Amino acid sequence: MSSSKSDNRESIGSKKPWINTSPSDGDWTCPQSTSLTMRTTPSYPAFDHPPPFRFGAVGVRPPLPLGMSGGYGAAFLFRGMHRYGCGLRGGASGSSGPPELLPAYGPPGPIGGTGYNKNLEQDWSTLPEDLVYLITDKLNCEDFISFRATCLKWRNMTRERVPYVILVEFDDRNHTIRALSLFDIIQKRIVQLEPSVFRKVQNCHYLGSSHGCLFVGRFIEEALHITLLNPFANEPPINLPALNCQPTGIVLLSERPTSVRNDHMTVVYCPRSDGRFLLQARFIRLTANSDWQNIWFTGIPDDVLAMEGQFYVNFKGILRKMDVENHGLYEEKFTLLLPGLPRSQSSDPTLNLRYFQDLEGHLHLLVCSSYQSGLYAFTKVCPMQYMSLFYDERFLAPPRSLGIKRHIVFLDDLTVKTRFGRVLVDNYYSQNLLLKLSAFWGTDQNRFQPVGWIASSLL
Amino acid sequence: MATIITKEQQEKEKMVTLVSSDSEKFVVEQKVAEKSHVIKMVMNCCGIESPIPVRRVKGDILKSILEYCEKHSKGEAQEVMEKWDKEYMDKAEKDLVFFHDLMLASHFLHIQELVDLIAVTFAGMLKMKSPEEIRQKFNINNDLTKEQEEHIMTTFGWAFQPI
Repeated sequence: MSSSKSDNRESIGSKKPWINTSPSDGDWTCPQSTSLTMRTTPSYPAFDHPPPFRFGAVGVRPPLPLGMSGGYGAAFLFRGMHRYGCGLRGGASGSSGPPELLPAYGPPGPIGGTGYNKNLEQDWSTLPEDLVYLITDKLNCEDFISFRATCLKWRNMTRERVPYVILVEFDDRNHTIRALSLFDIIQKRIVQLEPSVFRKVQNCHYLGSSHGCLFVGRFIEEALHITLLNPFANEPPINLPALNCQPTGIVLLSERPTSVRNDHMTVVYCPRSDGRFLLQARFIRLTANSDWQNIWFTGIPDDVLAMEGQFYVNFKGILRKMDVENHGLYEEKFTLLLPGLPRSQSSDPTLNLRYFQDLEGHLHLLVCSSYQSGLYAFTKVCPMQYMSLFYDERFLAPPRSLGIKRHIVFLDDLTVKTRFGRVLVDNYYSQNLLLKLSAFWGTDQNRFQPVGWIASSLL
Repeated sequence: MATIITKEQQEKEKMVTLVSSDSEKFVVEQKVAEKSHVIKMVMNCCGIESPIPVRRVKGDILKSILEYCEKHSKGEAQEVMEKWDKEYMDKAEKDLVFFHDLMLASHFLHIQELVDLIAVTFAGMLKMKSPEEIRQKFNINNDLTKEQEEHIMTTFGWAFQPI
C-alpha cells in the first residue's frame, strides 16, 4: 500500500511527458487511463485522479498553478480511452508498473478462471483505494472479514482491524490513571501510547472507551472536565464543558467523533457512586454553546449502553431506551433480556463481562462460559431493529445475529431459543481472548487491569 | 433592448455544456456542474464558454450523474432528498455494470455526496455475503493463495458460519 502511494507521488512530479503528448496522437496508449481502476499504475497526472475522499475533504487539494490549465483539457480530451477498464490493455506500454498484475484483470480474452466471460470491462477488484476505504468503513466486523477474504487486491488495500485491550494501572488513593497501555490481542504484545497522549490521560479518571476513542475526566475544583481523545490519530482532543458531577462514571457516545461534522453527536455521562449508577444522568449535544442537561431514570439502572446512535438502560435485565429529547426514558418496554449480572454485581471475576459491546456497537451476550474447559460462547443482538420504524434494509442490513428475533431464552449451554427457532451461537475469538485476559489481569499480583477495549481506525 | 440582451447573455453564461465519451452533449446550469469538484476546477481554469469534454464518462452515466447533481442543487428538504436518493440508488444497483461505472465516474468527477451514497449502497450489497458469494456476484477472481485462505479460515472461520 505504501509503495503504491509513493509511486503516485513520483508520477505527480513527472508531468512533462504527459503534457507534451498531443491529444491527437492516437497511437499513444494512455497509462493513466488505468488510474481510475488501478492504484498500482505508476504514472498518472495529478489532476487525473481526484483528491482522496476523507471526511469533508472537498477543496483540500491546493489549486494548480496557472500554467497547468491546459492540462485539464487534455485530461478529458485524451483519445483512445473509452471506458475505465479498457486502459488496462495499454497499461503495460511505457509503464514501469507491475505488468504481471495486468493480464489477470485487464485484457479481454481467454482467462483461466471460469465465470469470467461476462463484463470484461467491469473489474470490481481494482477499485480506487480511497473508495475502498469509504466502503469498508461502512461494513461491520464480519462483513469486513468477508471483504478482505475476497481477493488479493482488496486484501492488500485494507488492514486488519486490530482490537486492543485497554490496560490501566490505577492510583490507589483517588482511582485515577497512573499508567495506561494497550494490548494487541492478535500479535500479543503491548502497544505503548504516544507520550503526548499519555500525558493527557495521566492522573485522569477513566470514563470508558468506544468508537476508537478514550474518555477521560480530570477533576479540578469540584468540576469534571471530560476529554474524548483518539490515541491513534494526531487529532486534537475534544474537550467538553465542565460538569459538576462525580468523577467516577461512564461516558457514552452516539457516534464516532470526527474532526468535522460533529453536530449530531450526543455524549451521555452516567455518574456512579460506590459502583452504583444514580437516578440522574447528563447529556450534551456537540453543537455550539450547548451545555449539559439532565436525564432522569425511574429507577437505579444496572448498566447503561450505547448502540447505533441510541442509548439504553438495563434495569434488571430489561433494556429500555433513553429518550434524550424528553430527558427520560421511553414508555414502551423493550423485551430483550440480558443474561447474567451487571458488570458491577458479578462475583465471578472471569464472568464480569456477561455481555458487552463489540467494536461495531453490537451487543454480545455471553451465553455459556465454562472457565475450566476454556470454553466461551457468545451471541450477538442488535436492538436497533426492534426500535426503528424506518428500518431500511439496504442501509442497515441485519447482522448475522439474533437481532430480528424478539424473545430470547437461554435453554442450555449452547442453544438459544428465540421466537422463531433455535439458534446455535458462534465462538467469537477476540472476546474469548479478552475474557481469558481479564482472568489473568484481574488478579492482585498484576498491577494492570483490563478495563475495556479499543480499535484503531481502519487506515 | 440592450438590457434584455445582457440579461439573456447572463442567463446563457450560467449554462455549461458537457460532452461525454460518446460525444453526447449535455447543457446544464453552472451550479449543477459545480457539484463535481473536478468540473468546477475545470470551469474555474478554462471558463464555461467552450464545451467541457468528459471523455472518461459515457453518456448514460453522465446523464444519470447530472440528474443527481441537478436534484441536489435545488436545496430541498432532507426527507425528500433521502427518499429520492434511495430510489435513485435502487435503480442504479439493479444493473451492476451501470453501478460500477457510476461509482467510478462519481469518484473521478469528485462528487462527494454521491460517492458517499454509492459507498453506503455498495457496502449494503456486500453485507452478509461470504467471500465466494461476493466473488460470484461481482465476477472477481480468487487470487488468494492456499496458505492465505487457510489462515483466513482458521482465524476468522467463525465469521463465515451462518446462523
